Amino acid sequence: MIKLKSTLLGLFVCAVFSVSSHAQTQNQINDKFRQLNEYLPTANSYRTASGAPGYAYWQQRADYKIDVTLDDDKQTITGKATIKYYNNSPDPLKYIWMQMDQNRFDPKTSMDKKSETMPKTTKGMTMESFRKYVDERTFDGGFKVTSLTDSNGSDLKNVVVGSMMRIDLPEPLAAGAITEFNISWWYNIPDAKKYKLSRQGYEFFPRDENRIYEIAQWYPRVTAYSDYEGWHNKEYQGSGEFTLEFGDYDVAITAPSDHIVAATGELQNSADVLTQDQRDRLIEARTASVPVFIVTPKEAVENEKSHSTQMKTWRFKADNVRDFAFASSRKFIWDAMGYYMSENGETVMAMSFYPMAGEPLWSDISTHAVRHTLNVYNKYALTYPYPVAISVNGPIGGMEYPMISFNGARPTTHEDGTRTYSRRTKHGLIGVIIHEVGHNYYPMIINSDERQWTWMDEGMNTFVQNLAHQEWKDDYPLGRIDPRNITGYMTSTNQVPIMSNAESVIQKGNNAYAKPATAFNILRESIMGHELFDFAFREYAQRWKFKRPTPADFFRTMEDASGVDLDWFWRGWFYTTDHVDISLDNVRHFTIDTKDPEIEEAFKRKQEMEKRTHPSYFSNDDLPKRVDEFPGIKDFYNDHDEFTVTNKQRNEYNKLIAELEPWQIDMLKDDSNIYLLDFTNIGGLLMPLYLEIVYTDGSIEEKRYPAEIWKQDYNQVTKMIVTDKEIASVVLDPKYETADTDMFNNFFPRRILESRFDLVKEKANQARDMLKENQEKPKSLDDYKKEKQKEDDKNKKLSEENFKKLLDEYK
Amino acid sequence: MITLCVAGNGHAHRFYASFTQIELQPTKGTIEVIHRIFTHDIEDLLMRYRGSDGELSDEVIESFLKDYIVQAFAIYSPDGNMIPLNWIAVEVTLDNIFVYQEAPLQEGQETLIIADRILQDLFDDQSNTVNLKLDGKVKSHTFQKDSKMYQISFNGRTGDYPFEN
Repeated sequence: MIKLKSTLLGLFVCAVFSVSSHAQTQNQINDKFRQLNEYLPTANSYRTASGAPGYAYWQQRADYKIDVTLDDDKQTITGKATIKYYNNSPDPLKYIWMQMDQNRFDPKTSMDKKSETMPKTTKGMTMESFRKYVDERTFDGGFKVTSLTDSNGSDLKNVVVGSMMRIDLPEPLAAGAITEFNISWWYNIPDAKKYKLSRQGYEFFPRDENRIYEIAQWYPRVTAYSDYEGWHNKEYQGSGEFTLEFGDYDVAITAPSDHIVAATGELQNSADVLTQDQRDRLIEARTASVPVFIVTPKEAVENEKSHSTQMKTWRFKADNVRDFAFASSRKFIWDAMGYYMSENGETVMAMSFYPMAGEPLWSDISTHAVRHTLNVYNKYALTYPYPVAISVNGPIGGMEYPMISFNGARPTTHEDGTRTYSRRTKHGLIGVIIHEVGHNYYPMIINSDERQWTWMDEGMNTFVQNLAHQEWKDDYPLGRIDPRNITGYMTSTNQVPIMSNAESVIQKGNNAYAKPATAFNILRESIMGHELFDFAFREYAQRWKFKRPTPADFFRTMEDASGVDLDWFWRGWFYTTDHVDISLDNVRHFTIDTKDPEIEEAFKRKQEMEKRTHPSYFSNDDLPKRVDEFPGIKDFYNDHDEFTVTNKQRNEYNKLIAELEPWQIDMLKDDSNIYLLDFTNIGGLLMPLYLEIVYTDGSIEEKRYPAEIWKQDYNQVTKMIVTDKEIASVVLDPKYETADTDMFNNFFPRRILESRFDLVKEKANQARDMLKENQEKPKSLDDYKKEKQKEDDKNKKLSEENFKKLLDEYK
Repeated sequence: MITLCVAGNGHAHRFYASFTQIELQPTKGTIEVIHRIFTHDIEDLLMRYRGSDGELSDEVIESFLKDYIVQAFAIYSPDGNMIPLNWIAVEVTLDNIFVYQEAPLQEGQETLIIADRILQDLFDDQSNTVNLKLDGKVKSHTFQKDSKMYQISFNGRTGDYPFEN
């Protein structure tokens, strides 16, 4: 056994050193490294323990053939659908459940409205809120089903349960069988601005009396039926999004003849609805390197004025999609640019639809952002499988559907008709378009259950969105995936785990977007590395594209494909509300006890002398000493201190050396510095230890230890570092990689840390130079008025010029 | 000149949530307050109070927030006296606006009564989480619309304020 001697003053410790730390039995009941088996469902033939679809994996399918009419005068949707339902499950089905999500707006049956609560302490509400409350309860929303028949035209019995409807089949639908039924319905389209809707609705423009319609959740959809939940019967309450089946869509949209329609899918009858010019431009756009106008701003402004009473029918086909949405308006400018994908030789049409109010921003940004999204997501997930990808500007702030997304940001329109926008608006628009187009991958193709798990689509998508930001320009702010930004939320005692139902999540932005996205970023940058993470994350996409993954399938695939055991990570980050706070308590310095009395006794003497710091050890040195006056009383002990080496010690040492092997003698002669670093886990969430060690010679070394360092004791670990250099200081997590919530205890020796608060305060103080402020020449009110007038005139002229320039550009 | 958007919704999804971190710093003798609010929510709020016209520069946002935050957020000593918060700064980023405030910390003070109505005049669903931190310990509370004031204490009672008994 090697003994260590502490070099710390006053601490003459001969620490017996053993490499393993102590296992503490009380921790075993909370084993943070045990596998997640009791949380994850048992693997079966549908879903394997490796996280892949099993050999017997199945999912249902529904094909829709729909005729729909948009009535611009009454703001209604009237539809007639033939739905072909494929029972691919091994189970006979006596009935089919439908999702009637528009019923959320039917005040009589809406669970969303019925489950609304008020705080106990309510004393009143704003006029505006109260009006919204009343309006929501008088608005005649929800599907009105006018007929429901089987393929023979016979009525089908049905029961409506809130936002769901059960269709009773005359005969059970056998496993592997197909049935067809017809349904007709209509509903009033809600005013998206009035009801502050975030998924669908219309926007009214009083100046030209036109509307932009963004239409979604507009037809009765077949409820998902899965191997792990049967019918996914969970009411639509607004927050949890959608759980859907794939199928082929053939949709004929009849709208006023001067409307431009954008939809999920590929336009089938451009000759009926577009001019020859517009069709030529579409062909040109396919290979263009910049967006090409299909409907120019000038044509859009003309369309706004016409208010035609004629109707036109646009036919769209979309294969293998889980939903269908569309937008329609007279106000749309339309631009497009092809994106040739070298992965499969296909060209996707990246397209944007927006009113003049979106200019001058939209024509510059939107289609580029769509194309950029496909480029980046293709790398991290899968090759985009659809023919079009669309971004529409209207009333909805940001909402995703297959191939089409609704994005709200637009410039400010001033009273003089000019429009300006800020850097923030521009970045906001880029961000929202990447996010919503990115949802094509998560969850439109990798079809996770949004109504149960918000993080599976929002968390993963926010993560890849941020990777796409990094590829837009160099200094794009990290925002939601910077571990530093999540620390405040993670220390909060008022949280729910990420693995909570979508409706029950509180602080959704942090819980379902930022925290999982940050977790993925930490896995990629710090714990797994780009290569392992990217491979596994892409493998998940490849395995589950056009299928329905559950959280377990994701957790298992990430481990299966990377070879990294991450159960501890999922447990801590996804199943608990623990936070990261690891403290570097102490750095203790030792050298090896050589056993050689000549060296060791000298070392002890030096230590003892160094202890003698008190002034009284020295202040009396000059006084005459008795032993000098009477030398006769001196003996051996006066000439030899207690650290003098005796012959007995020398003999013992020689005997020891004689018995040792040569390698053991070498070990005793090792003059390395040995450091013991003590860490305490205060926050509870286990993370790796990343250290930056600065040596006294000025050199810097980085050391990275895996989270498994905590495997036997979650509360305290000690790590040994052996080096021939001397350590000056150690920093734990110097790059802020682990979301450590308290950095003060990460430094040895401790240092005064500038918090975010201090930094801002300093900046704010610097910003104000009172001396300089006082040196300003005093001005009168009149001076200011004159200046303001001058400034206003200048701005007015500038905006007029800009607007003219803009118009000229479009001519 | 920096000009600014507002019309339309700038953000992907609305969260109706703000987050406030209050740190009691006995060594510095200060109470530090950082509010984190979604930028777009503040733009909405400004639209409502100032009308739809005009440009929202960072300066406009700061001068508005100086008035607004005083009405919407306050802390009190257990004796019921309001603790005036000094305005330190505002940081406007793409996603978030950070508001920094500060007050002197009385020796031994481990209790605060908090009122937080940020954005609750605009959104009925607005919920504001406050973390109070002292020596690495954190206690949190989430304010909903019409929530009472809330006392957080590290050496006494924590709960809705005034206490019912």
